[in-house]
Amino acid sequence: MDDDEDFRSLFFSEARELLEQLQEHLNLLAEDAGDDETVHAAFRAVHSVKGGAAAFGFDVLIGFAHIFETVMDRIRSGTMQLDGSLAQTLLRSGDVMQILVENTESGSEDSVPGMARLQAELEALAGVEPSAAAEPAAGDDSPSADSDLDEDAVPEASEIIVRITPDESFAEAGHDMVRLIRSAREKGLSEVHVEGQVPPVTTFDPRQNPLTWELVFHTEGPVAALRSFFTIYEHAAQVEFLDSSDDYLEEDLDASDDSQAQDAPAGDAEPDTDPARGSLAAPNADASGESGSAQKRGEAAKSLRVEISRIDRLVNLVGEMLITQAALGQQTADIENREMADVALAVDTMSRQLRELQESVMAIRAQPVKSVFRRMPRVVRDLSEKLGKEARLELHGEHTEVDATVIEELTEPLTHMIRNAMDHGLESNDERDTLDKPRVGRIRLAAEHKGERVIITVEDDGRGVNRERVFAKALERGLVQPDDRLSPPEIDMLIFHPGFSTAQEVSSVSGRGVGMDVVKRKIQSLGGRFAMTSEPGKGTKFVITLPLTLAVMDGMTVSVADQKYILPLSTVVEALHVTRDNGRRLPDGTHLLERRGEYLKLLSLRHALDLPPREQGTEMAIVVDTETSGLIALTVDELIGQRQIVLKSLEANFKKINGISGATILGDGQVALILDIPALMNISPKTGAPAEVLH
Amino acid sequence: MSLVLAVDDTRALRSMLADCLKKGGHQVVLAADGVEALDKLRQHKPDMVITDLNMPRMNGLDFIEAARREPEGRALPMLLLTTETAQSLKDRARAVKATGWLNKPFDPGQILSLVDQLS
Repeated sequence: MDDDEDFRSLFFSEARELLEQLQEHLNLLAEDAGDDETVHAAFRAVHSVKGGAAAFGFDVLIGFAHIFETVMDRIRSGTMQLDGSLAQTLLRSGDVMQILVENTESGSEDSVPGMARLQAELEALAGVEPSAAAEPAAGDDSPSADSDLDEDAVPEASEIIVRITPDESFAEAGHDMVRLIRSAREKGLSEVHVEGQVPPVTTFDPRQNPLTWELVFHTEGPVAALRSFFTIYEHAAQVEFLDSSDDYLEEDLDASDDSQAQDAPAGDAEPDTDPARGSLAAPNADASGESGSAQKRGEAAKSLRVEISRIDRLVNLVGEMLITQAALGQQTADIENREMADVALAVDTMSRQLRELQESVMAIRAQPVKSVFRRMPRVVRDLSEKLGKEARLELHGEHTEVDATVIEELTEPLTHMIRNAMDHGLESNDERDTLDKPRVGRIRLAAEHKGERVIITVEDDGRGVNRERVFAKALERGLVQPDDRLSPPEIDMLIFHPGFSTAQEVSSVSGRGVGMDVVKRKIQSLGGRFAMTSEPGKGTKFVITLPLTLAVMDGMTVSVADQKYILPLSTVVEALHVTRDNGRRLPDGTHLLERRGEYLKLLSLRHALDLPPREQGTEMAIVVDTETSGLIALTVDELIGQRQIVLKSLEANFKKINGISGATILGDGQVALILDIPALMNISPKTGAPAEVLH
Repeated sequence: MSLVLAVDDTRALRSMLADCLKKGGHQVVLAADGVEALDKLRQHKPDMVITDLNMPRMNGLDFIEAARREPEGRALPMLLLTTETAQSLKDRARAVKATGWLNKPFDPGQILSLVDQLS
């Protein structure tokens, strides 16, 4: 088939989905939160992957899936009790399946670490002979009609007689002697004889009056081809090959020997041969595979799988239209002419519809955070084992939807935060005992919508930030001075300083040279905010606020040296005029802005962007939250206003520029650059201590 | 040329079957489970059915059993195409009057010749 590749990729994408579901079900089972439905659903997932793999002959995958399925089958039939250690085995099996699928897809022949041992374990559980189960499930014993054909020599044109006596179920099973004879003609049927007493047509009932049909073939083709033709009838009829002239034929037909018990009454439909051509000795008996998939039913009927690139194109187009619309809106905004009023009205309507269109398109890309969340129980479990710390992970709001592009980027920071909570946040179980805390630590991962943003919280009930140690560490690193007086939140913020790590030794868990600063930067690059609160002895709480989408954002347009720039609205705190009263200059050249008794560092955008200083006129200061170094004020020439903008990548269209995170096209067709404030801070000359220390 | 109803809950399998049948010059109606298949059976009156066994909502065996009670399915050739191999299931297939039992992986040539032969 020339579409083989398509089917393959379809299989793999489906298999990945199934295995994700499997993981979810197994997680539930491991937490003892599953029910019979969960077991059924898990079985079905394994079974479906096996079925697909069988269609492509992926033997290694089939072999493993088969034994896995057998164990699942024993669990769901109740012959095996699901306990903690079995659940762990299943989880690991799910992992191996995942790797196997990946390997199969990439064509890798690499052996999967731990697979042999796991397979042996499963075999022991399933109570099968190791060697037998190691064979691919559908591989060993499936003598397809074709293999028979290959082996058989083509005899000379010979006469072969086939006697067929339909059982009473023949017609009921969808067979039809007239159709059979018609099809048999193509196989070289030359004569048909009917044996038996045919009663008058008025009383004729084929069930009571079985006839035996003798079909005479003159064929040059291999006998096996004829045999395979009749296989399908074997469970609804007695089929018998008669040919004394061909020795090998007799031998070939041993299987249907007992059907020579000719006079067997039609009612006795004793199965003589397997109606299946490819039979195998797999023990998975199941007739009730329909259970455990209530949701799947909905998905199958109501969902459509679309390549993400197609949707991206749509999102882009809608973005372009928003820009065009903005241009049109600007042109028609000041129409006062009565005759043109209708045009203005239509433009207005269009703008509303466009907004709706944009929302609908975004809704297509929205995905529940579940796909990220459900990986986390795994992280916790693995760490529990590694650290010898028992912990419970609570998930809330898994169905909260976020743009697919945001979801993809969330896994890494969330994993890191969970690791951090496990490693540094939670005390050991024994320590918790002495502290009168519940022995098992708790980590709560939650998502919720709040307006146009989604809020993700990672919270633990551990020891909280050890501020003394953080301060000591910061001192050691030269981040603070011994006589600096920092408020507790300010000390906590030090954790996010690049390269800061409180782990006294680099542990294999979270101290991988990657600090919380990376998490924070990642969240910021997604246009999100990051906050942390901590209470000693009670725990730590991280709050991530993310935009629902990365394709469109609200921005503040400002003008600097006749150029327009965009600041992400999420970072803007307020705008002030810079006057002689609130501006200050320190001896070292640092500019400060007084804001309600508090001094903020004042950064000139002209200076940062290497533009000539302004000769006259007042400047505006925009107070922005840098996330990493508190609030600072940026001076701009003019504040133009807030608007929704469509993000365009500068890297994709031009090249990466430090301090600029992207570009957008304004309503009048001008390109405006989007400022990356943390990056701008880094390229501007650094002076003095961090802004937030200046009280 | 026949109209074949192909039933499988696995999309890849369904597509492969459809492709194979279409290449053999047949028309194909697809269904993802027994319930949908029953609907399609009444609606399209196919010449033949090829169905998976393990499916959500209604499995292949139950589907065949139900289809046999429908006028459109009473004498219809209906094949099971499955990875299952248990004798108990095969016995049940016989009891519900399945026309035949095939094991995955399927051989397109075999499927096509069976469709030609039975429908």
